[in-house]
Amino acid sequence: MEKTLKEIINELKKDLEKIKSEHDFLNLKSAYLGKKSKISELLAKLSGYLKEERAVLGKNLNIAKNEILSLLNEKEKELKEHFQKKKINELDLSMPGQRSFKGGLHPLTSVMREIEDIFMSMGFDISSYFEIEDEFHNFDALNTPKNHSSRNLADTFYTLSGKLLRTQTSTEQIRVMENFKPPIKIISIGRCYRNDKSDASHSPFFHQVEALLIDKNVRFTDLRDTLQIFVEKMFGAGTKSRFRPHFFPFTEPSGEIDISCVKCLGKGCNVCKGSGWLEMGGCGMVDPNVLENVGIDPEEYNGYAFGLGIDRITMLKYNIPDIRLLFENDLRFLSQFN
Amino acid sequence: MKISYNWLKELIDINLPVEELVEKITFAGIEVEAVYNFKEILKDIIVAKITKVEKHPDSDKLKVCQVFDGKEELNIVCGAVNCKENMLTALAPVGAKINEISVKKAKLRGIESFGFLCSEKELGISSDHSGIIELPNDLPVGKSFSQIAYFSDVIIDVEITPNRPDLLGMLGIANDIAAICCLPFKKADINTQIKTYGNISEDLKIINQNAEICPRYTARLIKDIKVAPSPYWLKNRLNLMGVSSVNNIVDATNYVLLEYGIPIHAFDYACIDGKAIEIRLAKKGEKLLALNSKEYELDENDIVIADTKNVLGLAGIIGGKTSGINETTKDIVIEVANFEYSYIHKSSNKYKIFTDASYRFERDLPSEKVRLVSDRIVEFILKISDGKLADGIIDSYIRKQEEIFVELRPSKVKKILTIDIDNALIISYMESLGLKLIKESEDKLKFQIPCFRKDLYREIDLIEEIIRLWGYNNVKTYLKNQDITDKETLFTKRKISDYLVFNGFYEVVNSSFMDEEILNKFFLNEEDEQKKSLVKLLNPMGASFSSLRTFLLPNLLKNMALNLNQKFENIRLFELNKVFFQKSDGFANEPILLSGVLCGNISQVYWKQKSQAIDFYFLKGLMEDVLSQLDLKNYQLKSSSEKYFEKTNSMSICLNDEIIGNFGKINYKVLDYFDIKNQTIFAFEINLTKVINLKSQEKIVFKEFSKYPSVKRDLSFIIDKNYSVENIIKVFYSSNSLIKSVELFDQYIDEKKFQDKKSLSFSIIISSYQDTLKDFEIDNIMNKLINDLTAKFSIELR
Repeated sequence: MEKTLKEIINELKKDLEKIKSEHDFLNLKSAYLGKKSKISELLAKLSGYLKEERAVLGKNLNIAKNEILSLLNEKEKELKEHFQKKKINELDLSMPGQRSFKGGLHPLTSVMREIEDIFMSMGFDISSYFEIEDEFHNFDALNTPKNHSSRNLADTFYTLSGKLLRTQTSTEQIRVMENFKPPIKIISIGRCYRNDKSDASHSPFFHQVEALLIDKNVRFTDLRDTLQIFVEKMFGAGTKSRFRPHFFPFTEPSGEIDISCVKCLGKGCNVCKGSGWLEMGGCGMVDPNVLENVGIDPEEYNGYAFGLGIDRITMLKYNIPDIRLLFENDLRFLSQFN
Repeated sequence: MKISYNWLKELIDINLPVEELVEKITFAGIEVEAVYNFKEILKDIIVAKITKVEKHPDSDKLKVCQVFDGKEELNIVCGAVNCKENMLTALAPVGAKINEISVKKAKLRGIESFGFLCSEKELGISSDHSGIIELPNDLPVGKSFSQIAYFSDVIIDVEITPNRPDLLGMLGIANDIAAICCLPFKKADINTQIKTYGNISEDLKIINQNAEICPRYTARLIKDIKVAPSPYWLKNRLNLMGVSSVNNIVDATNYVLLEYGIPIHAFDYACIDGKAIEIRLAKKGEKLLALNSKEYELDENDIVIADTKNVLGLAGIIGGKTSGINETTKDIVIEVANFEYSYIHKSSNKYKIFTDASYRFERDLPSEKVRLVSDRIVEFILKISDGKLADGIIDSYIRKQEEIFVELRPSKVKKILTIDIDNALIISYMESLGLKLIKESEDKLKFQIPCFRKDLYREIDLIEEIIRLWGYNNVKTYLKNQDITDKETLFTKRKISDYLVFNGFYEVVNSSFMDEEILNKFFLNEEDEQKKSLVKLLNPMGASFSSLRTFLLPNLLKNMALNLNQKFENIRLFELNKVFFQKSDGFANEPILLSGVLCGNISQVYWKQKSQAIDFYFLKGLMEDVLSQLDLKNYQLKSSSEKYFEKTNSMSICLNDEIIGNFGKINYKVLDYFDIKNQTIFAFEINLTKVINLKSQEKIVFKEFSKYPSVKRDLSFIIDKNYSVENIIKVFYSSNSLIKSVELFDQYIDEKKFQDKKSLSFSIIISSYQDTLKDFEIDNIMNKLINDLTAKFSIELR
């Protein structure tokens, strides 16, 4: 009987190779496992054997039946995969997919967000006050002399209602110090105005970010550190910063901030006009007079402030040659920044 | 670890209300897990005397007792095996409250019972439930338990952090609380002048040679003791501390353990073979039958106490059964020792034996305290039992505990803790914790650390102790949350810009200046005062810069014209920026506006389907999505009266009757001005500042959703053209509350087939929270809906 079983399995193996369709397979399955199959016949004959023989034969039969089953299952799986593949259409994968319209933030907005995030991660709050201000917040409180040229009509826009368009975000320093008690750690970010004719590097409206820290024991190094960290986060590790002594009415000592040229990395090029350095803004330790103007005791508290031009940062970051491009809003310009 | 308030009062002069004490403990850094105020818990329970016990006529187990409660005899049915005549016990009378249960008069198998007699477990003082509590006979019958000193205690269950093993005894706790509360510590001297006989060295030998495993081992010998039950006060106190009473000797070792936090073990001297005790590592395969009746096979990493033949105990963890104290014990050896904590920790975990002793030893105990505890336990045992003490002590102190000195700089203390503290206060804090000032110079205080504070060995450790005593919350805070950042505006701006960018819009940035002539070109309504409240400049750069802009559309249309000239076809632009409305005080309102313009197709070119041109409904959908992005819910859309839009092709967004925005198709005459020809331009404007100010700050709260499947049905009908879809949908929702969603999926207008009519198709989702809807229920809902629609609009089903 064992011999018969082996023959059956060998036959099955041969038959399986001939199968071409699902129909063939089902026929084969019933031929080998159905009621009229050889295996069933052998099973039926079992009762004619002695008890001891029956046990051995039954076991062998079962083993053979399991092998047949697993051979059939294997083939069935193979067939399924084969037909599944046939059902799927073959695609020209190079056809274009369905796209949506591209859009994008204005590069100034992207840069402003980046600046906000850098300072927020360093624990700064963001203030938001007015663009239309009075002389007190724009000049007086910031220790600007009464006859200072920046107050002239040729420099500052005034409104018919007797106010002015702020010339710097420093106005917000004063607003914050009037409304909140130290410690204060803020940036202000927004639009300012100066009576400048439009050209490649000037616009009557522009954007600034201003930082102010008022606390006990603020050190000059805190100012250096904060600016250096900002410059590296904004323009990449390796960007250097330096201070040049300068004059601003609202800070003492005051300085201008230069960074190593982002294009030539300090070697000298057309962007930095060969100097290797780019002017970024002004900074300094808050003048005691400014603190007194808003009722903060300069003996107890001190602080630093700095202001940077966002339009300039944006132009440097993307290598934009003319500030006017920022405000023309030509899609050929806008579509380049995302 | 449990703290008994009564015990604490014996150690320090403290009389704080329980709540205050709990607060002091908490802020000393000891976490309070539970407070059991037995004065409160047991206030209804009274001391009662059983005067008569009889068998219950209908029960084998129950007894009928006569109980005297100080005033009268009560009939009480009781099932306890130990209840007997003349016994004092605890009575919960009718009306008493215990464990949240009110005691009521009850009938037990036909006999009335007026209250019940309590076990220790029922009273909550121990886990013993084998019978009713047996009270000493000298207690006054009829008194409330809250007036009995034994039970008028407060037990505070605390969690001790692993760095403070010194707090695993009442003395340590008392010491810390005394320091926190600035209270003097009551010092009770130990009596060492005890009459002795002979000398211990004649009767016992200690072999302790491995300093790594056992730095110190002491032994005392007491003969002729009498093992007996403990006096009631001792049993009761151990009970409250969570330790069950065994006999006077074992109870004494447990009591002193709870007192000092240092474990003690007593051996039956008679069971020590060869009169010698050796402290050594076990040999592999050595066996110990422990006090818990389990046998352990030991290995060379276990420290054992052994005699010349057998292992007597697993050092610092558990004693052996054979050498334990029982009624027949006459002579005992008292062990007070210190074992290397890492060995104890490993063995205890290996065999999963966790005892009061192992819990303490694995926390690194001070060897220096061992002698003191030995004196105390001897004194204690001889107070509660007969016995004679052998003269002397065997003290094998082979690894000296290091003396620790720490230098503290007051300047550093002030700098780190930001508190103004003087040297005198620092020194007094340190001394209250048991530290000794060795040397004081201007900014240097040198302290010797007490032996039981191994956790203090650096300057910063002392600084922590100072702030603990000063009070963490007594340090003034400096920074304030000033809320300078307007987060709502900042992040709403970002979110909505991102949303528009994802929808194909480019952001533009335009000048703030505006030519006031522009206003005329937009046919502004009379009542549209805002757009006309111009901030005018004194010194503008020219006429076209004469004012500041009051809306963003002029610039956007200029941008649109520029880009159309560049032959762009699909253009979507938005701006998010300030505009300016002149105020009477000279300043301006400066709200942020979101405005956009768009033209061209709805979707990008796709070879599979033709793209459709943007129409009003596309813009309406976009606006609804934008408003949803802005978390705005209760707005209404009404037809707009702005003339710069085409009539009937524009809507206003209203919130609380205030217009916060408009959208629609730009009037061709306005386009003319911007030189835009043959183009359909759509535009929108939303006052973002107003949206942020007006929208309700609703907290998002999860709502339960239906567990049952919902059903989808479609409904198509012909209806008069003039009915608005908005009103039709309202009828759907009001017809049945189970209608959860209604969507229009088709509109069909065939002028030839049905004049002045339109065909509408809706798909409806019906779902119930209670049940899976059955077919007839859905049919009923649909029939009612059709009736409602017919009644209101005389619809004709298709």
